[in-house]
Amino acid sequence: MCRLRSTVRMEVSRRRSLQKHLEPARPLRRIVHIDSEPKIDAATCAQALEDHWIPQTNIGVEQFFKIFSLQKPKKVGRLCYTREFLVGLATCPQAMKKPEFLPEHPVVLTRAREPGDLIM
Amino acid sequence: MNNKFDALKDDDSGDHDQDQGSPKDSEKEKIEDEDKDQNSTRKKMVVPGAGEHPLQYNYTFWYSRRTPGRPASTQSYEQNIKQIGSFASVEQFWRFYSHMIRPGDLTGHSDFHLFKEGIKPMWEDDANKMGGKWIIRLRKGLASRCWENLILAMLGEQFMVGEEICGAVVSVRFQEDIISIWNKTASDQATTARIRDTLRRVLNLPPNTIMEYKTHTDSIKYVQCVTFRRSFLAEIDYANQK
Repeated sequence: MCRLRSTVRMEVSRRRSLQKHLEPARPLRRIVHIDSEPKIDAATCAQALEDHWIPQTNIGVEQFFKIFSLQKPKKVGRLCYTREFLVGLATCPQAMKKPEFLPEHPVVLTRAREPGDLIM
Repeated sequence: MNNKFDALKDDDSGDHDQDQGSPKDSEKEKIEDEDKDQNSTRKKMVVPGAGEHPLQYNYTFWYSRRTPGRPASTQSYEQNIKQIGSFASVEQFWRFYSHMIRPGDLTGHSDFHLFKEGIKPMWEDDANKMGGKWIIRLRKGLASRCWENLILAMLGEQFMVGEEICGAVVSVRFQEDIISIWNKTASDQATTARIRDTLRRVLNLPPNTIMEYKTHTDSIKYVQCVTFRRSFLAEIDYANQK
């Protein structure tokens, strides 16, 4: 029974899809007349391309990458900080927080040293 | 050289003493396991927080101490060295630094290491094995100031030697303290000269301060020699006790 039902359904669906495809085709609209012969063949076409080739645009792979690398933003310089600048940041609130992961160890303090006691 | 121990004292210059012999295989495995654990808990690489000042490189603080009284053969350098934490910005650096004892306040035979993240403060690390270090011996009382000036110059990229710097070490010893800065290529004289000149400038050292450059391969050879001497002296002691 079950199999029979499924075959019936399949037939129905096939019929529907056939109906869809059977719409009347639109007439093709061509600008160029099909029966006119092409005036240039592959060889003349290639020749024409070569004639139009401008030497400046003849870029090899190496040259391409050279130009490409010039376009890229220059590598950012080293992050240099003077001693004074670094010491200046020692007492900002972000620098006084306790690190998230701090092992228990005799050389590790539970509380931060006082700002005045931070650096010699 | 006044006595036999002067020879042994000589290379206490800011890094590990490899004179403890290689750890047993079981210990090696344990070290590797610990490494894995550390990696798994630190999967997330540190990044600068919003609005913070990023550093050119991420760095990691390490601490090591030679436990007194324990027989040397049972401890290895790698077991004694502990990571304190990594940071990526100026603010994060200060967070760690303000929560640590200053080197001048340390006691015993101990070292602080500050190395680029990913470089272990060991000669055997790929970044260090062709390298060397500048060593400066300091009289007691100068370690904290010199260490701070050294690491601030390193974090602030004041050495201008590209990727060459690996890290810095301060070593607290009995009668003196030693600071050193490690670079990748010991044979690169232009780099080592530039590091020396920058050190003189940023540490504000008196002109007569002795600065010594040492390649890590020399350090390894020296330690092997000392290890031999030590075992030799121990044998003599043993023979004398008998």
